[in-house]
Amino acid sequence: MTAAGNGAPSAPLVLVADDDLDIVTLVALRLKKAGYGVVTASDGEEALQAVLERRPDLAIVDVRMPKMDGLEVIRRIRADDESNGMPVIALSARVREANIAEGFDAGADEYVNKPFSPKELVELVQAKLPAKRDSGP
Amino acid sequence: MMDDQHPLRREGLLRRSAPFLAIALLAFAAVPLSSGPLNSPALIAAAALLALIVAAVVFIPWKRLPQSAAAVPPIAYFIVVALLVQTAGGGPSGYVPLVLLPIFWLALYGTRSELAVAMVAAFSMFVAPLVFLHNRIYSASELREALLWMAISLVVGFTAQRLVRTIREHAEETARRGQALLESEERLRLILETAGEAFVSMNSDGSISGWNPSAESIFGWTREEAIGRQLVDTIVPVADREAYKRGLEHFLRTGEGPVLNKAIEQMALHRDGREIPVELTISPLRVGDSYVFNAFIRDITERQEAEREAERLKDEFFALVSHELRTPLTSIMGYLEILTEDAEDNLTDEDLHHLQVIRRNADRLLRLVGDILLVAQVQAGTFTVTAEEVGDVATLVAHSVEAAMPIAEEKEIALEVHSEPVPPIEGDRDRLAQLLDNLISNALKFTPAGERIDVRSSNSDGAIVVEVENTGSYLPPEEQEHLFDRFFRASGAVRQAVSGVGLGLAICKAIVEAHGGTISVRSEEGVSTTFSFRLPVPELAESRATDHQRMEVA
Repeated sequence: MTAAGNGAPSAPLVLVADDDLDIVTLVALRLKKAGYGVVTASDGEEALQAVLERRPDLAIVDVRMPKMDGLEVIRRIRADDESNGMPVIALSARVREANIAEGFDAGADEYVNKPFSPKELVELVQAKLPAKRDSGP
Repeated sequence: MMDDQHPLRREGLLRRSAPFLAIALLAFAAVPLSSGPLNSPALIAAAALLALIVAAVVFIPWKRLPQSAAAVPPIAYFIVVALLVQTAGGGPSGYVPLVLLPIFWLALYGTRSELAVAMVAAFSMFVAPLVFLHNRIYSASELREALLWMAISLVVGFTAQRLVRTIREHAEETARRGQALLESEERLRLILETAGEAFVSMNSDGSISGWNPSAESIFGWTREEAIGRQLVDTIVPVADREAYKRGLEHFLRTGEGPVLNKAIEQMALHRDGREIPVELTISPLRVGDSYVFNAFIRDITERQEAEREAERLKDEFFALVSHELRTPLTSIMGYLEILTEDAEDNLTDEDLHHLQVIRRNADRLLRLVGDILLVAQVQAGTFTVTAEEVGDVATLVAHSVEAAMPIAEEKEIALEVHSEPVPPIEGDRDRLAQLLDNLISNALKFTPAGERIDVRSSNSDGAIVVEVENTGSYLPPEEQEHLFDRFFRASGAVRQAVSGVGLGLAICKAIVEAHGGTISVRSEEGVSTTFSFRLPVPELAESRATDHQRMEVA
C-alpha cells in the first residue's frame, strides 16, 4: 500500500469523495487534524481514479454522486484485486432500510447517515485505521 | 295504423271486394235457374252495376281516396243483390246467404263503420221493396222473415266484429310486447357492445358464450373465433389454468366461489401470449340446472403504470427531502461543531451563545426533516420499527423526563414521574424515546406556568401503560378525534401560538401502532388532559417484572 498525501509522510491516506465541496472540506479538515493524509474527489469517476492511482488505506464515499454513483464506485473497488480489502465507509442522506441494505450489498463496511458528526466520523475512521499505525516505534 | 297490418287491408280493395264480387257472380249464375225473365231491365241494370263495380275496384286508385270510399263497393254490391232479388222474386230467406256472408266477411276484416254502412245497405235491400213496390212481393210471413234475418245479421255482424276486434287487439298487444322485449334486448346488447369493459360470458362446460368488442380488443380474439372456445385455454395464463379449473369444479359442486361477485385483480392472457393485468368481476347466473358466468373485465395496465409512476414520484420526493435537506444540514452542523469545539478560545460568550442558537435551530430543522420523512413513510406503508431488547420502559421514561426538566423548570411547571414495575419488552428504543419525548414536550407546550405534568408507567392486563397527564389545558371531544391526524392542530395550539406543524402526535400514533399498541387521549374541562399509550407485553416477559420503583424528579 502506498502511503502518501497532505499529512505526515508516513500517515495513512484516506479518500474523501462527495460532490458537496463543503462536506469534503469539513471531513478533510477533521481527518488532517487527526493525523491522516487526505485525497479528495468530487464525483464517482474521480473517486475511482484516485483509488487506482493513489491507493488510499480507507475510502469515505458518498452514495449519491454525479458521473458514477457511490455504490458503483464501491463495487469497482471490491472488484479491484489490489483495493478489495480496503475499508470503505458509505455516506448517505438516504435513510430507508432498503437504501442501507444496498450500501452493504455493494460492499461497504460501514454506512453513515447524513447529517453526521464529523467528530464521530473521524472516530469511526480511527477504529478502522489507526492514524499512528505506520509511525509507531 | 293497426288496420294496415292485416294482409287483406294491405292488399287493396280488389282482394277485399273479391268475396262480394264472387258471390254476386254466383247469384247471377243462380238467376237463370229461377223463374224470372232474363231480359228484365232490373237484371240488366244489376249486371251493368256489377261490371261497373268490378271496373271501379280494378281501376280506381282507392288508396289515394279517403278510407270511407272503401264502403262504396259493399253498398253497390247490395244494390246488385237487391236488383237480383227483384228480378228473381221469392221470399227474402232465399237471399240470406247473399246478405249474411258479406256481412260476416266485413265483420271479420272490415272496420266497424264499413260494417255499419254495409248493414244499412243490406237492410235497405230488404226494406226497399216494401217502400217502392208497395209490399207486392212480401207476404206477411216473408216480412217477418225479413225482419228476423235483419236482426240476426245485426247480432251476428257486430258480435263477430267485437270478437275479431278482441282477438286482434290481443294479438297486437302480444306483438307489441314482443317488440318491446326485442327492443330492450337490443338495448342491452348495444350496452354490452359499446361498453368500455370487456364482457365475457361462459357456460358451465367452460365454453365462451359471450364476447363483446372490448373483449376483442383486450384479448385479440374476434367474437366469431372466441365463441365456443374453452375460456381457460383462451384468456387464462398457463400457470393459472389448473387453479382456475379446480375453482370452477369446486363452485359447480358446492356453490362456493370465494372470487365471485367481487372485483379481483389478476393476469390475463392475450392472443399473442402477452400477459396483461386486469381487474374483473365474475357473476354466476343460475339458468335452469346449470350456470352462466358473466364477467366484466378491465385492462388495468395503464392504471398500474400510473400507480408505479406515483410510487416512483413518492420515492423521488423521499430522496429529495432526505438528500437535499440533510446534506446542507450536515455542513451546518459539522462546521458548527468545529467552531464550538476548536475555536472556543477565540470566541466571546456572546458569540458562543449565538452559535448555540444556530445549533438549536439546526437540531430543530433536522428533527422536522426526520418527522416529515417518518410521516411520509407511514403514509407509504414502509414505516417499520426494529425489535431489539428495550428492557424497562420506565428507564426510557426517566430519561425523557430528565431531558425535559430544564424546560419544565424554566416554565415553572412541576414535572413528576411515577413508575410501577413493568416487564421488559422488545421494540425500537430510539422510536420509543422519540414517542416519550414528543408526548412530554407536547404537554410542556400546553401546560400554563404553575400547573403540573405527571408521567406514569404501569403494568395493566398484559400491557405496559404510560400516561402523560397535565393540568390547566382542555381538549374538546370534537378535536380529540382528529388529534392524531397529521397536520392537525388543536384550536388551543393555534390560539396560544404554540409552535409546531401538527406532526408530533401523528408520529406518536405511528410508533405506538408499529409496536402493536394503541394510543388515546382523554380530557376533562377544568381538570386535566391525559395522553396514554398501551404496549402489549409478550406473556413470558410479564413474570420478569422488575421491582416496584418510584421516582420523583423536580
